[in-house]
Amino acid sequence: MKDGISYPLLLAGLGLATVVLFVVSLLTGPAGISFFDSLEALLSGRGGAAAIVMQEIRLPRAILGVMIGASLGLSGAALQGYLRNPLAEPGLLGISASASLGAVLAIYTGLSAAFSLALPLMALAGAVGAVLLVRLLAGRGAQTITLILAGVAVTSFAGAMTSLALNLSPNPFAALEIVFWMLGSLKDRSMTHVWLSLPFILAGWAMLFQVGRALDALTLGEAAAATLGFRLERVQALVVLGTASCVGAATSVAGAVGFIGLVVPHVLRPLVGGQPGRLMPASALGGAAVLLAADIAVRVIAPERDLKLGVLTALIGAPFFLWLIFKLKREAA
Amino acid sequence: MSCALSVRSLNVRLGRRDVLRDVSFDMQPGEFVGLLGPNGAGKSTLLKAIMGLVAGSGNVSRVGRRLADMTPRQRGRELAYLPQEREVAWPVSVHTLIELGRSPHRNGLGPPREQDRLAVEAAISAMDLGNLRDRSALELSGGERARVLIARALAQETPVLLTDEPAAGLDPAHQIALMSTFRNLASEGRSVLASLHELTLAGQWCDRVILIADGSIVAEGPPDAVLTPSNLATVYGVRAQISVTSDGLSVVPTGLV
Amino acid sequence: MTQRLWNNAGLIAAMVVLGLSGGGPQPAQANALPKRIVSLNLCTDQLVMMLAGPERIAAVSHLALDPKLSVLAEYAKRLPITYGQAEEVFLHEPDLVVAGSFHLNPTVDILRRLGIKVEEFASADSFAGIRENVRRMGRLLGTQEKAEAMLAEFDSRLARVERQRVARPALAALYYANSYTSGADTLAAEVVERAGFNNLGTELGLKGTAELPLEMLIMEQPDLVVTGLAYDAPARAQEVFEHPALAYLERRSKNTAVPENLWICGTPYTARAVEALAAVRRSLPAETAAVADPAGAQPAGSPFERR
Repeated sequence: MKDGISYPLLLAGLGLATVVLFVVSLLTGPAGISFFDSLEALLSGRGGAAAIVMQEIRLPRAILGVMIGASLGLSGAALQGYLRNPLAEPGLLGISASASLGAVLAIYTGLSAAFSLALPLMALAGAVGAVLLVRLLAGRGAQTITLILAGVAVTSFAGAMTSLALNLSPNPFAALEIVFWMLGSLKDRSMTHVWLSLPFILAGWAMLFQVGRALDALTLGEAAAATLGFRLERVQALVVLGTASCVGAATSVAGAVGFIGLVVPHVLRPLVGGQPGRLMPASALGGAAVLLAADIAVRVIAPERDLKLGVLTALIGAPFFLWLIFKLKREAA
Repeated sequence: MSCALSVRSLNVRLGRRDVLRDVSFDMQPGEFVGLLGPNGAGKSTLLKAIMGLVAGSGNVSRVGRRLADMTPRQRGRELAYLPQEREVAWPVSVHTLIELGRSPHRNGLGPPREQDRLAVEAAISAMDLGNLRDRSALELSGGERARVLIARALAQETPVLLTDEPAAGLDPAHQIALMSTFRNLASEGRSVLASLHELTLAGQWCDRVILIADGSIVAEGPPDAVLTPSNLATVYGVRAQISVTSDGLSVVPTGLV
Repeated sequence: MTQRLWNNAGLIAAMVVLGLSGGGPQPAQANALPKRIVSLNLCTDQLVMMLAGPERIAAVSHLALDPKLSVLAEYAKRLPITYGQAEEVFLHEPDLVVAGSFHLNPTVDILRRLGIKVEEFASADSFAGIRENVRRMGRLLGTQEKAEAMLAEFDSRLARVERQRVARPALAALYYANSYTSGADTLAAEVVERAGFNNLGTELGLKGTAELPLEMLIMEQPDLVVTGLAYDAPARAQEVFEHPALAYLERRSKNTAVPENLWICGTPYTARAVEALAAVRRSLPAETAAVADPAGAQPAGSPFERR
């Protein structure tokens, strides 16, 4: 088997798809602004209401689509590479659920109203807490099944606590909030959300991109990788904290968006010849493209209903698992 | 005296068991040393302890420098290690896998350089993998995979190579080719320490043999001095037919003691 | 008819027995006026409090105490309250229970099976509905005269607003948390229209409580934005009110909040909501943008096409 298709070509293709979808996302929305008017309003700032719609509503939404999709794809690839398991993803370890819990607590205790960074910081704290808890439950060098079970435990616990917080809230909208956190949405996000989450997302990316070579070496197992000059504790810290940072911040803005971190790296892996280091940038671009596409779809399929992002990503995820089962059965036969 | 590898008073305790007790030995440049002993004697642990993969007390140094004082990358350029478990997690190509051996030499970013390319090619031809270079590592047979992983260690181009049961699962021809490769490395001035179960291979190819039992060195020296009937009976619990042939020492276990 | 008081275990036993026997205490005589009224719903609370004296009210719902939601919160402080559970209600020994009409209401089912008379009131989604509910409650409580007097005042207030109405309607948008609005066939829409506005939700073809995308709100640039009151406990749903895009609107549109308690329930007090908004209308310039902005024309077939 050759080393996948040409790597630069793959990255260029994914990058192009991301750019195109970014532009389409800018042009999608209930206000029927024409193509040229949209671009003029976006770039020049003239055009009154149209400019506001483009710059304050559509632009942040598209930017967040890229930031969040890339974070999910990147961290999914990093986790799969580090755990040496193609079914790993940030949600598996309870990171998204715990980040949601942190965000909900920040909102409901009023901290986020008092101090705007409180929201992404508490989501981050939730994410790191999840990781530490999973590590504690599963132990060092755990079997995959133990790790997964620990992740399920953390997810369930965080989900229960989130539901409890919302159930006890005196605010009548609380019950609907669960839907947002469980299914994710980018509706009506503003540039404020972009600026708040950007530092954490960039920090997460900076940490994750450093481990590419180490993940390649981990193909040979931990012992060999350690003797090839990599400090495995440092790799683990970078993977864990990097994931917690960018996924925590992403969740605080958009709620829990599932499946992208699992499906995108899994699908792109054959195209990069299996190499974890190459998979990470490809997965980041792929994740950005998929999330943008899903966010465009929610606005196009049922514009008058508040279709949630997570519904669409789940519609990608479910058939993916079916395909996996068929593939495994075929290989085993 | 610049020893290629100097091990002093290595003690390793795992759980409540003393797995290695006060192990000390030297290796010179250009030596091919066989590490022998029954299952559970501590051979794997010894190799891991030298590489710093298990915690132990004692001192390991190379040409006068303590390994503990080096950074992991520096260690990676001095010693290559082949674990017993032949793990490959992803369907990467054989070429990519071998190239991983260049990791300690490559800086963070940047494509492989000429010396990396040459090292990989040398390793591929040394292990006779030319026709497999583009195959997925997960599609190989057990023996092919073993050779690929050895090639990785060769590509690392280190003065010292430690390998844990490298001949296991190889057919006779490839076993001999492997021993021949190690011999060639030794004649280039490198040092090879290989743990082996194949007594005849050790007898025929190793300059020196270290026999370990129960965590301690029982005997050390040229193969014919160590692989004696009494040692074989005490350490392995077997009777063997030992003969000297034109190819070297031949040790064939014939029955239990 | 009076009942003996039961403790909880006894209550459960009673329910089992009654359920099995399919009968129970006899309902109140058809021509006797109810003397122990329990109301389970915020809106029926208001009507009951307006039409019956405190000596006839056995309990109202706990929501009646919330001044944001209940016009008569002060009055409700003197009354016993319930949290809508069948046990609590049963212990008040009511001869009439009034509740909202919801599809699933197990509480109402249990009460009926215990032989209690329950009257369900649909929430008023128009002024006609208000009148119908008030009259019906008046009949049930035997206070028809008072009911008619209240409606007479209600109508005269509305008539006064009508006389003073500015000829040309301005454009108003109702905007609640999570970007919701009230479209056609809602009480809020009728309030807004009688006060001299066109309702943006109705103009965009929305029915009932529906989503109004922020983009549409910005593009339509209504003359007035009516927001829901913020709650003490923060929620993410209210983040939309802090969206920077709304700052743009604030420079161009007037923003007002009408007390929720005037129109969350359709009662004669709703006329005051109309009066408040009519006053706002008069404060706006007479010539306002009540027609669609051509630049904001929607593509044909878009769900937000102007009807």
